[in-house]
Amino acid sequence: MEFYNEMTVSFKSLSINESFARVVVASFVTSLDPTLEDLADIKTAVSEAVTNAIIHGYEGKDGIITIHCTITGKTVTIKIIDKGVGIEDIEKARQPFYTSKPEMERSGMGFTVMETFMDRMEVESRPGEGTTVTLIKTIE
Amino acid sequence: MSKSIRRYKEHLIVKFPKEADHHHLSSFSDKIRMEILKRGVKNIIFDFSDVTFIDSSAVGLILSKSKTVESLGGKAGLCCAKGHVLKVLNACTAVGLSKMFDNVEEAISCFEKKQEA
Repeated sequence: MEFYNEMTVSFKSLSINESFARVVVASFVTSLDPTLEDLADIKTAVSEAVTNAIIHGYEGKDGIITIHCTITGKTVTIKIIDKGVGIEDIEKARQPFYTSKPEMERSGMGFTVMETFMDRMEVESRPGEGTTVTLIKTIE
Repeated sequence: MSKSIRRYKEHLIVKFPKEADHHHLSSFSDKIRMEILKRGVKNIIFDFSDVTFIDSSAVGLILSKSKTVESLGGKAGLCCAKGHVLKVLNACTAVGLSKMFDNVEEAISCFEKKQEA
């Protein structure tokens, strides 16, 4: 039978929690015996998604971010969920260098980094309801 | 060592913190901006020698500050980026946008040679 594990963690949308989020996910994934490079890739992608939730989802205001992680066999699936303002145009938001907040020195490369460092990335969003970013990676 | 900003002649040397994410860079950005606007600052060098974690927040800061010094006739460079730091910079094409050096001294030497030419 295939190995299965899951965990959920919720925290306030504070920038100080960015490092907490990436470290807790990396710790959960260690059961798959990843390389240091795999872990660095996952931490970077999680950091990008959580930062997006804080800056764009909740626009710096109070909110709760939930990370739901599952491991099925050798594949980790990480969902980063916010109940913030949502994204009007997902395709536009995914374009390299596109940012809705240039005044905040955002590079507009967050989604590009997530796509580059994970095997797959999906974005679901409804304006006014929030955003869920799903990151998937198989550890060989 | 923690993040720092120091001045050598007309060069501003910005040493990034160990964890160069949105949280650790948000207050740092204003400090860099204030230093750039000081009289006599021309070039900016971003030093990654202490960095163990980076995401695109650092790239946003680099692009913004590089644009500012370049609009004032200066140059921007990156140095001491290796391993995963280099991988993130490459993914964000930041390496192509700013010149990469092995160390701070090499960046200073290059900027001063260009000025003499």
